[in-house]
Amino acid sequence: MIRVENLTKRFGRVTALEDVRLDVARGETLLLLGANGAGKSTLLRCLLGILSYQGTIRIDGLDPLANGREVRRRIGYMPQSGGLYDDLTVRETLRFFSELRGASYESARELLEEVRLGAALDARVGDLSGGMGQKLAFALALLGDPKVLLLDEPTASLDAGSRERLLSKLVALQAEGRTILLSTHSQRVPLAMASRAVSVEEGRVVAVSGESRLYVDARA
Amino acid sequence: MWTLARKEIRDALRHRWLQGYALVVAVVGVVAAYAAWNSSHGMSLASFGRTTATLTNFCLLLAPLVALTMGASAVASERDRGTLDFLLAQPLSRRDLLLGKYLGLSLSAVLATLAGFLPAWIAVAAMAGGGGILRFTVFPAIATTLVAAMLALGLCISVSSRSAVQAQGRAIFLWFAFVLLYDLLLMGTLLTADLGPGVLVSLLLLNPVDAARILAVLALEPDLHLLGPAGAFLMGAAGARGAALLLCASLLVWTALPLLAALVMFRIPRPRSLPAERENGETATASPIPSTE
Repeated sequence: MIRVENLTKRFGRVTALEDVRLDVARGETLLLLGANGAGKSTLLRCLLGILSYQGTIRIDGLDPLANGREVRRRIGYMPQSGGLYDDLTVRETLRFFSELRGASYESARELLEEVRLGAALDARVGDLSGGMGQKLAFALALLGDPKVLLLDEPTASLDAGSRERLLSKLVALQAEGRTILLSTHSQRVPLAMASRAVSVEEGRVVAVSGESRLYVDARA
Repeated sequence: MWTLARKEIRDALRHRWLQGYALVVAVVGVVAAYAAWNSSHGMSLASFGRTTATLTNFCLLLAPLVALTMGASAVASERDRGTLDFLLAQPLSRRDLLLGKYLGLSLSAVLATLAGFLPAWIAVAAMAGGGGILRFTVFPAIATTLVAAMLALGLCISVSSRSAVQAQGRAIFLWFAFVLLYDLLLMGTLLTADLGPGVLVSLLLLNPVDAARILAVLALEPDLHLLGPAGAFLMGAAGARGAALLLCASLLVWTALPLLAALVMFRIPRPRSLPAERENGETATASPIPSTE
């Protein structure tokens, strides 16, 4: 489903990713572990085709740079932070992004109810707490029933209860056969929910084995 | 693209800058119409001309500022707020994103301009009748074409700037350059160098605000005698219709080129090189996937 070969991304003199190789099969859940600044978010943005890069990426056989629209139609993305318009209400945000993703507003409302934000429809996004904003972002990532989910630090800012609910939802999505890439620097995301995990360090994907060593290398 | 355009229209119409612009143009228009009517004891041809000249001149000063700054914040402010990446992560192309923003901003600015001209329009209709209204319609049309050109320039600035502050600064400087600096430099050059009327006209066409201003003069005084030798040259070379077409073409170019430049700059560059072949002639293949055991 996702194939990455010799991926290198430089921002001026800074090498954010170097010779990254990755293969994620359909229905697999891959955990990307790494400290802040390791390159996890940059990797996700390259997969979306919103950054230029050297190397090859294929999502469901498509090149994100040549077929960006089609690739992003298949992907639900949850950014690490921000991404939402503070001056819009939750309702307006749902309408806007559901239109963009070709989803119905009703399905968007259902997703909002699932993340327990139904009561906040008329609240301004800028007035939501960090956790509520995170839940809204998660609901938006599921709009349009995407085959692939790229989630950047999805459990940051969530309280324990919300975190458990989100992880349960991810397990349900796994069972439906979605391909999930989940990036985190936190030990709170259990390795057990992932098919595999890799550690990203200074722009390189490091092959590791064993749970304790993974977290040590990720400097969590 | 249309989804984005609708959002831009909603956002822009809520913006105080745009509401203020429409209000100020409306007030100036009404005051100008009343003053002209009062001084002529009725709406004569001369007073109609004074009303439209006042309002159009004012609009040609203010509209570029509003349009440039609106265009300049279109992409740069999204980048600063952190919303651009999430927008780019949706199933739309960068071209659709930029064109959607331009379309939405253009429609909002045009609506605001027309709303600003509306009270004066009504005043002219009440005082000068149907003929006056038809002539008056040309002026908001000129203002809206200038707005479209300035928005395109603003968008170009927005895409090329590192931050919203830098973009706004560049937009304000460009406004100052177009409405004041350019003409000052031109006048200075005229005083010191012997520029023929043809060169002068060409230089004026290089400034979209001047092109719009000449169009407005053409609509008021079809023989362009107000422009002196330059006007005589233009009339002689192209006639009234030809001059109008030339001026409209100038504004069209000032719209199309910056928009095209913005689209090119906003494109994501393709990868420059492919992975090198190994010494044995094989291309690099994916190595075994890291896995936990």
